[in-house]
Amino acid sequence: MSKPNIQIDDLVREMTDEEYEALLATGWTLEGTDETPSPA
Amino acid sequence: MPVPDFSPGEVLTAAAMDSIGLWLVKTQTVGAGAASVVVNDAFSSTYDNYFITMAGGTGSSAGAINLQLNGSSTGYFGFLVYGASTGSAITGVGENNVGNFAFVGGIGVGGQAAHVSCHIYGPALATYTKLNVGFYQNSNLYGNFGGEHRVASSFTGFTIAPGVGTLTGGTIRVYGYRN
Repeated sequence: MSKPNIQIDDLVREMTDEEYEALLATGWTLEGTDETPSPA
Repeated sequence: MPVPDFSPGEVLTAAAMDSIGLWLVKTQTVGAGAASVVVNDAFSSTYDNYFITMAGGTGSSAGAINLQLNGSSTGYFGFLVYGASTGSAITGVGENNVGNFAFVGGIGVGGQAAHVSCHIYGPALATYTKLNVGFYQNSNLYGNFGGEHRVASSFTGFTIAPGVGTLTGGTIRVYGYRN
């Protein structure tokens, strides 16, 4: 699976492996669930 | 001149322009498929307080949108009061020394509008930064958030990111409140 983009000022590019790992560490997911939504 | 009162054809003086209370200091267009958007050079010593908006674009999935001051991934405190449009109960959730202000906007339905709306107080001052939110959204949940970043340093930029999915399009605008 390709990694999502990161935008820095006006430059949009695919995240590096390190940036993607840091993003995942925040609890980020690509898609939500159909469960009752939690605040986040 | 407490209230600007301009006439057609009038030459605007520096004093007249300086009396305008809210000034657009930064505009940034959001690209496609961005899981985070870094905005640099938004805050300065010119203004103490700012209003940040994002509108005109979409989010790929329902969820909250968070804000982090660039270069600081800890020390965020606050409280969200929210409820569901389908009910009447008021619920709350605190954040206690976490990695961002987690509730500065949101997305209701995947593929639909994403927004950010927040006031931020003193980000460029070497004191704690405070923030309150116009409204937060995640699916059919709506609420208000207020918080504090307990790091006494000066920050010039911020990063906006959805907790789920990506952002595409729209514009981030930063307005400075004249001191």
